[in-house]
Amino acid sequence: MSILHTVNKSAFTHQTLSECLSVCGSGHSILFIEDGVYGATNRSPCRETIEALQNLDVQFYVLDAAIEARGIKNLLIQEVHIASDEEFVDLVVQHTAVQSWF
Amino acid sequence: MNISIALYGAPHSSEASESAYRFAQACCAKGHRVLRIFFYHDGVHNASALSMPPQDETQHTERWQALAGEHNIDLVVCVAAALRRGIVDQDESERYELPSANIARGFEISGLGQLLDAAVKSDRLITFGR
Amino acid sequence: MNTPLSKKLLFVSRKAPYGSSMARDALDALLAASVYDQDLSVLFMGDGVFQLVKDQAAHRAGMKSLAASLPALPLYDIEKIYVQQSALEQRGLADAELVIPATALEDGDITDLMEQQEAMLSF
Repeated sequence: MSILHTVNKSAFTHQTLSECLSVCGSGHSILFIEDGVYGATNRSPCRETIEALQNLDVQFYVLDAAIEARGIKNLLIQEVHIASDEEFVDLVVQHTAVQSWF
Repeated sequence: MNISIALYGAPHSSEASESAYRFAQACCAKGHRVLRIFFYHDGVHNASALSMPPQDETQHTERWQALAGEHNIDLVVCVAAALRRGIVDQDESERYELPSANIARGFEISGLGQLLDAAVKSDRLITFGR
Repeated sequence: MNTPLSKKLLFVSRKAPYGSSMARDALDALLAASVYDQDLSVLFMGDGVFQLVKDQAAHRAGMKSLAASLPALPLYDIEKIYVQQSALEQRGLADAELVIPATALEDGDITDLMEQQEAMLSF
């Protein structure tokens, strides 16, 4: 039973990502969408927590259109996967439920 | 799978509409069935027949209509949220003696229970908030 | 009450009352859901815990009181009411009397709760 979390707020201005990370469990995935993708960049306030969770079998994704719109592909934390819209759908199907953080 | 979408953001004011539309489109492309898009909170503004964005901007209402028509998707607008924000169909307009009706064709005004109904009838429910 | 086919559905309410209508909209959705005879739970987390503060004079914000509506939840057969312990502590509410009884959950318990659900309604 694993959850897909979507996060759409920047970690530089909102606690949204931090709140999500605090209840994220092993086997869950987090997909950054919209302004949420800023939380997956190298200087993200949540970078340490993200890297710790990556070691606990939590997968992190950013939506390709969101990072391309914002020109931040070269700022992403390592091991964050870039997902297409269709891969977003696959993630929803593969996880048992979705929790949206906004 | 059967997938439903809850949308709480208004078009243009936030990216929620864009995200929800692209997700819905991708679901259909992958052969899933999008049962219902439930418009609640500011999401009801997606259903206005009166929005007129510049031609070089996204025509949100029109493209919801086209997607729903092509794939037989319920576009359901919460009546309470819609009334508060001035999105009304002919029935509500007459009931409350309002100057006009403005809901776009293809969108249906209904009760808030349709959100839970979508969750019950679908394999997955995803929310796009503002 | 719960049929074998009823789904486990969790309402996650994260917004403070009054500054936006999201908290009220979440509650209205929860109450509307109660007639569908599903296995409903509600979790107040983050700023959502502020919805449970007693003595809200909502009329001063030009609104209907959220706190006045919450005690109705058990009357609608919504009894699985949870609140995030860490959010209460962070906001100085750990020892406060809340407007309705709610089971305080540690973050790990919240993870478990979410994993048990068939769908989340996120607010």
